[in-house]
Amino acid sequence: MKRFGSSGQSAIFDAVIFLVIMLVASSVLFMYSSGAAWQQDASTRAEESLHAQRALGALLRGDAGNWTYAGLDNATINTTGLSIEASLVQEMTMLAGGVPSAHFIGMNENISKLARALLGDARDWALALSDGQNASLIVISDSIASLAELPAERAASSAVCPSLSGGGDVTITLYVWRH
Amino acid sequence: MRFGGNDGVGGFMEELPALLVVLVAISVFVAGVASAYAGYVERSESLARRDRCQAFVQQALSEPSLLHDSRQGLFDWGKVSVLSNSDFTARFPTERAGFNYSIELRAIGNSTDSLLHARFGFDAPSGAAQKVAIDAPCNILTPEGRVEPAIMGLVAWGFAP
Repeated sequence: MKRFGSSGQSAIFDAVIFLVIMLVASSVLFMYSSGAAWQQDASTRAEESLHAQRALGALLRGDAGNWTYAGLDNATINTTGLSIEASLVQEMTMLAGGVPSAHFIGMNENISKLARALLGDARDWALALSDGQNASLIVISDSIASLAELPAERAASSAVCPSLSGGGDVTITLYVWRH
Repeated sequence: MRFGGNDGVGGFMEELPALLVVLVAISVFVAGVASAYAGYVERSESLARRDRCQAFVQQALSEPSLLHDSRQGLFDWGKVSVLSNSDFTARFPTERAGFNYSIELRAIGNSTDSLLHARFGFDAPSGAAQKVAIDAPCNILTPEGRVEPAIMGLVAWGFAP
């Protein structure tokens, strides 16, 4: 079998070097292209934040519906005519006063149903209420039990509402993420 | 014409593999450039289309003639229900939007959901390319004075360059 001469070997060596340079250049292009994908991710994050902001506004402004539960001193509380924001702040006050959380199951499930409808099937969400002293007194979510389970990649929007008891403000935060 | 030098035809043949490697390298690079450029253009255009749709949705959510007390995102059903499709499209012309659209407003709340449903714009052709869909949460004030959570859904297509 005829072997390549020294000039042939040199040409192949040069060509392989050229191939390596082209592969490196293509990799750089690929990374640049991935950078553009990152730009798209940033845009998606901004859109998710906007969606969370709109969803929180729409949810809190909505009517709570007709719910009745036993509040402080077993007084009957009715949510008719209250917004969801007002009913949640009231729930915070009741919980802080020792009313069992079981009293709010029906109302919270209704809020959960509305939040799910507002946010769509492609997203998971969690609604958290805190009053400054308590880290998160209420967490309503379909998919997580506590805020410790929140994924790192998420959008959030908060609203600050005056508390009924005249104490610190109540912060209501909606966390949204794609599953 | 004869091949010169001591190598002759054999020398030329020895450099053929090198030529093939160079051609492969150039092809890989050109394919990489084309792919990166096409991806970049597609992503940029897709982002620009979504931005235009978001701006349109924001404009609709802020249209004072449809809102209660001009509160952004709180539609007054008394105003929305009497609005004709031609009124809506005159207020939001496709020429200004830069695309064709179909916009739907529906309550998702407690009781009379099915009655609170309005649709404006045009019929989206099935299989339209570059279709963009955006859902924006909002509210509807019912004639009874209740505030229902609602969704404004936009489907846009036929984007002008």
